[in-house]
This record gives sequence, C-alpha cells and structure tokens, in this order.
Amino acid sequence: MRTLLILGIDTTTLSCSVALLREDTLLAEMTLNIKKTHSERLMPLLDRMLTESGIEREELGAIAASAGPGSFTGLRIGVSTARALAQGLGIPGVPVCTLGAMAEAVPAPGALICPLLDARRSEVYTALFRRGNNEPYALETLLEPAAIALEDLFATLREQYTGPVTFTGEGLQSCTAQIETALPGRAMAASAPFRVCRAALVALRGKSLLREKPGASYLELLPSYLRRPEAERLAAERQGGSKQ
Amino acid sequence: MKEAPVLILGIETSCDETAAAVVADGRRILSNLVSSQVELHARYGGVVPEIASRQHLSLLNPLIDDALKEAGVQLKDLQAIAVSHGPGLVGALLIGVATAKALAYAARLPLVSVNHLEAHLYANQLEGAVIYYPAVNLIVSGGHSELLLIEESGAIKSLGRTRDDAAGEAFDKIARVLELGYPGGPLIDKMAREGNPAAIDFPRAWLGNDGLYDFSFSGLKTAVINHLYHARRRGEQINLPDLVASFQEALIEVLVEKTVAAAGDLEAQTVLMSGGVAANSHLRRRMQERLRATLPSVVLHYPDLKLCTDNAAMIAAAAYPLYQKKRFASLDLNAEPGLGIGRP
Ligand SMILES: [Zn+2]
Repeated sequence: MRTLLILGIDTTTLSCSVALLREDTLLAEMTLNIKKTHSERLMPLLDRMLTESGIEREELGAIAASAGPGSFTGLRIGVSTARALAQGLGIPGVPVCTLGAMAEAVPAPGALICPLLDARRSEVYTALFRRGNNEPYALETLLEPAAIALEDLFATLREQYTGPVTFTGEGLQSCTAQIETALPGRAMAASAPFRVCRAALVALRGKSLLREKPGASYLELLPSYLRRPEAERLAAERQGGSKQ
Repeated sequence: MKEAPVLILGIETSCDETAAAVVADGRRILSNLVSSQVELHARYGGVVPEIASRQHLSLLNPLIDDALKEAGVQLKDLQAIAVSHGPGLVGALLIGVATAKALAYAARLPLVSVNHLEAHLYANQLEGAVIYYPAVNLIVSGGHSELLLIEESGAIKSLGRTRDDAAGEAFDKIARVLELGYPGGPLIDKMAREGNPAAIDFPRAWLGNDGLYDFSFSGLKTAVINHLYHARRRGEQINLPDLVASFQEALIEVLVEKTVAAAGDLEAQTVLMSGGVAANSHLRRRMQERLRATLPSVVLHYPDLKLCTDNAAMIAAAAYPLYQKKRFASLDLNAEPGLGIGRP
C-alpha cells in the first residue's frame, strides 16, 4: 500500500502557507508571512511547491485546511481552495482547527499551551491545550476554541490551572506586557518565528483526523468562524431588546 | 463528422446568487442551477456581504456537482472552467474565484475569467437570439445601470452609467420605505399594474448634454420619499398603487428614452436588455413600443426571466469567445470588486 501524501493549507492569518506531508516526513513547505493577498498567492505557491518537489497533483491523497478561527476572508480562501481541490481530485478533505495547529509548534511535554489570535472588538480567539507527558505526546484540549476577552482568559488560567503557560500565535505581539502582569512568573512565549501559522502543522493534525475518518468528504470541510456575522448578531440583539 | 461541442462550466458568486452551469458552444444550456439566498437576506432588507460569502462557500461545491450531473458530463469532459471575477461583492467573488482556480488546477483545465456585467448580455445568446451589430445594451440590475455599445462580438464600450443609485437599488429602497418587502422590483412591478402612472409627476433626470447616456435616480428617490412625508403630515390618504406606478413610470421613461436615443445616435441594429430589472414587465413593454414607434428596424431582445437575474449560464456563454481566443486566466487571478466595462 502506498503511503498517504497530505497537502496542508493555511491562510487564516497573515501567513500564506502550503505543505506536503508523507507519513512523518515533511517533504516541502512554503510560507509567505508578508502582507499580500492570499487570493493571489495561494495557488501559485502550491503549484510552485509541487513542481519543486517533483510531485504531480494527482498523487495527492488528502487535503487538510486550516478552517479557523482567523480572518473570515482569509480562512474562506483556504477552505474554498481546499474544497475545490479535493472535489476535483476526488480525494478526502478535513478541516483543522487553526489554534490546535499552532499548539503543535510547542513541543514541551506536560506544558499548558495557549495560542492567541486577534479577534478585534477587544477579544482574542484562543483555546487551551496540554501536551501529554508520554509518547506520542499528543495534545489534549482543555478549553475549546472561543472568542473571549483577555481578562476572562487570564481569570480562567489563574483560577483553574497551575504551572507555566506557553503562549503562541500572531495575537501575542500586542499583549505581551498584559500577560506578564496578569500571570507573573507563569507566562512563557514561543519565539516569534514559531508563532506563525504553518501548513506543515495543519497537515500533521490533518493526518490524525484522517486516521479517525479516512474517507472524510470535502463537503464537511467547513469553516469554524466562532462568530456570527455582525448583521445577524445586531438583529438578534434588537429582537432581544424589543421583547423586554 | 461533426466537431465535438466546447463544454464550459460557469461559476457565479458575485452577489447573493450561488450559481453553476454547463453550456455547450456558448449557446446551448445543458444545465443552469441557481441557489438563491434572497430569503436569507430579506430580513435585513438587502444583501449582507458576510452572510452571502458564508452561503456561497457551503453551497457552491455541491451545486457544481449537481450541474455536472444534470448536464450528464464529468469534469474531465469539460474544455474550460469560467468564473466571474468582478464586479461585485469582494468576499462573495473570492469564493467563486478560489473555487474555479482550484477546480481548474485539479482537473488540468484552462480557466477563463469573465466580467459579470458583460456576461449579462450573453444571456440573450442563450435564448438563440442572433445579434446584429452594432448593438446597444441596457444593463439594469440591483448593482448596475449602464448603457453599453457592442460594436461586434466581444468589443464592448461603456456609453454611460448611473451616477448614484442603480435602478434595482432605487426599486429596493422605495419598496423598503413603503414597507412592501424585498426584493422590491417584482413587488413594485406587480402593484404598479393597479395604479395610474400619471397620477404624480415625479422628476426625470435627463442630465443634459454632458450626461447624455448617464443615469441618476437619487433625485427621484428623494422626491418619492418627500411626497410620502408631506402626504402623511397633511393626513392625506395615500394611494399606494398610484404612487408606485408613478415612481416606476418616471424611472422607466428615463431608461427607455436614453436607450432609444443611444440606439438612434449610434445606428444600432439591435437593442439588448439584461439584468434583474430587465424582467420588469412595464420596461419590456415600453421599450418595445418606443422602438417600434421611432426605430422600427431595430430588433429588441431581452432574456427569459430566469436568465435576466444572475446565473452561471451567462458566465459560461461569455467565456466561450475568450476560450476560442485562448484568453486564459492565470493562477494569481483575484476578485475585482470594481471591475469596469471593456476589461475581460
Ligand atoms: Zn448581475
């Protein structure tokens, strides 16, 4: 039996990233972490990576796409692309949680890992993971992904968890000082290059999802926005208000 | 032996209709599916871009599968994939563009990018109409009111456009003010049949010599709102059908007169109407009457109601001449929300 070749895609944040993973081997990864439209960059980057790797698109066995949370437009470009590639190639596709993929970059056994992405409106997209102490050092989800205020995250970390927390993600940059003050002596930060969303990590998490659901249809590869559209939220608020 | 037909898959996501279609040789519709989100947006009184984008993403791939199935073809039987990359809502366009690029790449098919606005006029060809050039095309939809000159197939020039609201927008806004519902066009069309179009003399914006083929509907809109406000303040009973018929008459008279003038000035042989507002029964009748009276040799075409509104068959039809000229799009194709006329 041939080994599964997985294409990873991540366009949920500033970075535009594609990767090829075969079993545990990262064959290729191309990441641009510059302010450029994902829509223009993603497909040429993918084409370039396949060409450079000497791999034909028909050899791809599955696709894993970072499905959010993140920029709505950004994640939609990655997810639409992944869905259509899987549809056109007739292969499975799985959605991967952006925050879970980011947590994969932190290797320390037993560590609490907290990825942060700016969610605007004074909130962050975040979740909490703990890496196992033993082989295979798998990630356990302690707090499900959500959009919450930093202060609420700090309160939870103070009240319900002990020990050091490793923060990572694009959202870290703007709140390093706040974290220091809120969790004195407990906060560690992933070094900047490791905070970037990377398709290799998306493919890695995709691999374990595909082991559980080998034939996962791309039709279920859908975004996790974690937030309703603004218009829907406002309409619900108005309705709630008028009932009182 | 007959040559095999050129099969093109069209994809359309520029506003609130998710659409996929398979068209042979730019003329023959093998399938034409539209998944409308109108009801979803109705409660907001207009299209909500974020909601439209989310809907397109989940609806588009299965719709493409269905369009292929209905046409009795598979991806590998196609010659090209076409997508409208503008104008429209950027987030909505991006879904179609990303999907078309990835699908074309996966299936190793050429990609053709199509101007949504120009594609509207190709709806006429899908009905089997033969177009004699030069032709004048009036595009009237929720997003656009524009007069085009087509000197020959594929050679399109803009003659004029709206300076403020599009005709469809004006219909929607007036329908909203009168609390008739959304979308406003069909509702006003229906109600106007019960009213007297000469009851109220609303202003017509002719715009003089430097705006010969341009439109402006914001003044008309304000006039209708003011009329309503004053009538209500004076405690007068408002005859809604009369009001609606007079508004529609004022709007349509400008559309018709300017189109007929352009057809006469530029010696057009054909007048085409396209876009959602081209479904308006009053506009169709008035345009036919005026052409018959003043330019009897000019042929008028307007598509079937189903092809007036946004659809993907028109995208595939518009892609056909580009496919023949091998004008293919590359993998860095982006959405162009403000795309104008004359750029493919
Ligand atoms: Zn349109």
